Amino acid sequence: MDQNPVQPAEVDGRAEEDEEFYMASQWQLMWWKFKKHKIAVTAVLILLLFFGVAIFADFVAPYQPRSRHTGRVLAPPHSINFLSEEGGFNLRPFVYGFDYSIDMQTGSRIYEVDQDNKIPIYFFVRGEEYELWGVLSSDLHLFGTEEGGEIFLLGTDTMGRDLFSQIVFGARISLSIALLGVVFSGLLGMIMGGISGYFGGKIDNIIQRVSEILRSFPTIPLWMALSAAIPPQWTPVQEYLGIVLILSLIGWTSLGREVRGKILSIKNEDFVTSARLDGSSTPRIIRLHLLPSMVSHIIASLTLAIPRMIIAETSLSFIGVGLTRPAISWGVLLEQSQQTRHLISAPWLLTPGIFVVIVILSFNFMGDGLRDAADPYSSLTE
Amino acid sequence: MNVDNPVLEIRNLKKYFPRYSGIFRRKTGEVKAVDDISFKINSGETLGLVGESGCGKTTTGRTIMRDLDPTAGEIYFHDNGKVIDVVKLEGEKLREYWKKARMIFQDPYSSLNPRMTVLNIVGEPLKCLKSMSEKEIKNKVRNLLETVGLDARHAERYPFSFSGGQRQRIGIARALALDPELIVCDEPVSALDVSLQAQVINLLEELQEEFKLAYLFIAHDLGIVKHISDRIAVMYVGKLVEVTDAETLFNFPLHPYTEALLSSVPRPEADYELNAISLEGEVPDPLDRPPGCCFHPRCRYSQEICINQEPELKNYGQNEKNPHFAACHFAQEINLRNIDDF
Repeated sequence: MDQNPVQPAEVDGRAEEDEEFYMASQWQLMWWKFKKHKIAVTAVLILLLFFGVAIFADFVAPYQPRSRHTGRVLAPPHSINFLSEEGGFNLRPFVYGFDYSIDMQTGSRIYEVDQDNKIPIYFFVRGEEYELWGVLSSDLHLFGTEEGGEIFLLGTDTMGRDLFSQIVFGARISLSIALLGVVFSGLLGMIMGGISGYFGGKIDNIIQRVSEILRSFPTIPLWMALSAAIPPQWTPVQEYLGIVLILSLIGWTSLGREVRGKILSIKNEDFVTSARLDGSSTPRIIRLHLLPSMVSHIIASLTLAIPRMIIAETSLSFIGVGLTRPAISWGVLLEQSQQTRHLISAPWLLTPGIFVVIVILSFNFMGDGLRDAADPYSSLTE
Repeated sequence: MNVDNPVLEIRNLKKYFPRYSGIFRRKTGEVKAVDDISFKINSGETLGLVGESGCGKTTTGRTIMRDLDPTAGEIYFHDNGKVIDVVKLEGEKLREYWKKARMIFQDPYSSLNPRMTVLNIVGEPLKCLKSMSEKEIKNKVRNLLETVGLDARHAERYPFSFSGGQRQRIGIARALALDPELIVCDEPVSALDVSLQAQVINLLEELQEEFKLAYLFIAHDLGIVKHISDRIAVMYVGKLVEVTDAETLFNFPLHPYTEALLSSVPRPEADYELNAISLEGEVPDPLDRPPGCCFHPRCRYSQEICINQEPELKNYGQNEKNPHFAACHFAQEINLRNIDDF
């Protein structure tokens, strides 16, 4: 017998210090691969920012979402200044206050910048009181003005509510509804796809036909029909869960297919046969051989499914059959922009849409990165 | 070679796969992947099982391992004088059998779970079938790795850090883990470079000598099995067409299909000019087998009787000790070329 052991390092021409690389688990390899995807990493940072903002919404928003500034209906966004009119530089940013007059023909307000009214912006100021997550009582805000000042970074809506604050609070519902919806539809998809792929035969046939029927319905009428079934006397929380349920009942099909396909392909890999011949029990095969090969793909697919959920919630609320006030989501906020009259005089009512776009793009980029990293071995072995 | 010391005996083994079609999945036919084959493997001996892709060799191997359940037929495993009816094994008894009969897979990439370390891959049978402790497993795996010519220090590595040949060695180590008596080698070298094929085959031969192993060595070309096999069985569309010892098969083939396979064995001579018999047509569909002798549509010697009547596998051996089975109506009449004629 050959007495000299074969040295992988020699064969591959790699140095011994690569030992760390050779002993890297799949998660480590995936992380290394994901890190190289710069756009995906940026997307993750953006999403972390968004989730942070959503979690600490009361602190980040200068105002409570429902407090009305009656004198400031449909006020345009304040622009932040460092240079004053006289040319002096201020380290502390400030905004100019507004004066308004009524247009006698249309009855709408015309806002004018009041150069004499400089309102400095302060960080960590005391403002409106709130209860964070219903337990932490405070009045500290990330930024704001002193008593008597006002700051509307993205203008106000038809009721004089600060749009920026509403967007910040809306992120809570829009993001959490998407996550919950994806978790539910993911569970449903994994169960249905798992049964379909693992058992095959008749059950597989039935599940696949059902999912095909679900996929062939036009989505918006289907959502509308299901939403109409939600009793009007439900509380916002119940309504919220109802919408999540509707979205996931329809959304599980694509993940179900992916799980099924994955199981079908892995089930026939020789290492699964080998594991069975090595005496592994079925639970052990599922736990050690099937699941680890699938988890990363499932996570990537789930991430790519989140944008669909956000769009679904936004569209439902936009057409008025999803969430309704007093709940605030980005879709609910966009609903006000349906009136063209407002849209022309107050285009900032569309800004929630920009946030929808940013979040969806970020999830898509992150999902892309995850999908590329999900199988770290494809590029290593060939 | 001890003739009367079988470790595995299979009799009239059949494996049919039902074929379903249409949206109602009605059974519309059967793929006769393995159709009535019998052979035995003696202790410490290598039986080469040769045939084209899709002829049922892998199905035979997997049925012997009970990865697939046979449609009909008997499989007997001889374990120190005890005769075990493999077809009837269930549960704990089947696990006992898996300690004695092991398998090496064709694809060194798909047969090792990329998400497990070599230690866990090779240690899996030790853990699941022998319930060894972690420490015992670790020591045993290190020994096994050295036995197959790998560095024991690399036990903590993942499969991706090894080349194809090294991966196949890992697969061999896994098969050796439980001191088996029989190893089903399912085309263990056909996915490897030619230079590595010889290395792995030599390793298998050395291990056979050291551990007194019996091999069922499945391959699709005769050149590979020539050196390692004591006896060779040639398979064509689910049936055995010729079975005899390696020497006789290469020098006195009796079946035209064997002749064609011999003609395509690569030769080492530099000035060698390939004059392989090119078989006309395709391997028949096992769903729709030609009548009579399966090989007749592609056979150079076929006659009327070949179309009408299926030939039996008969012994044409010159003496008792050295049987030579072939399934051809003209086994004794036609004079086939042997390995030296090509």
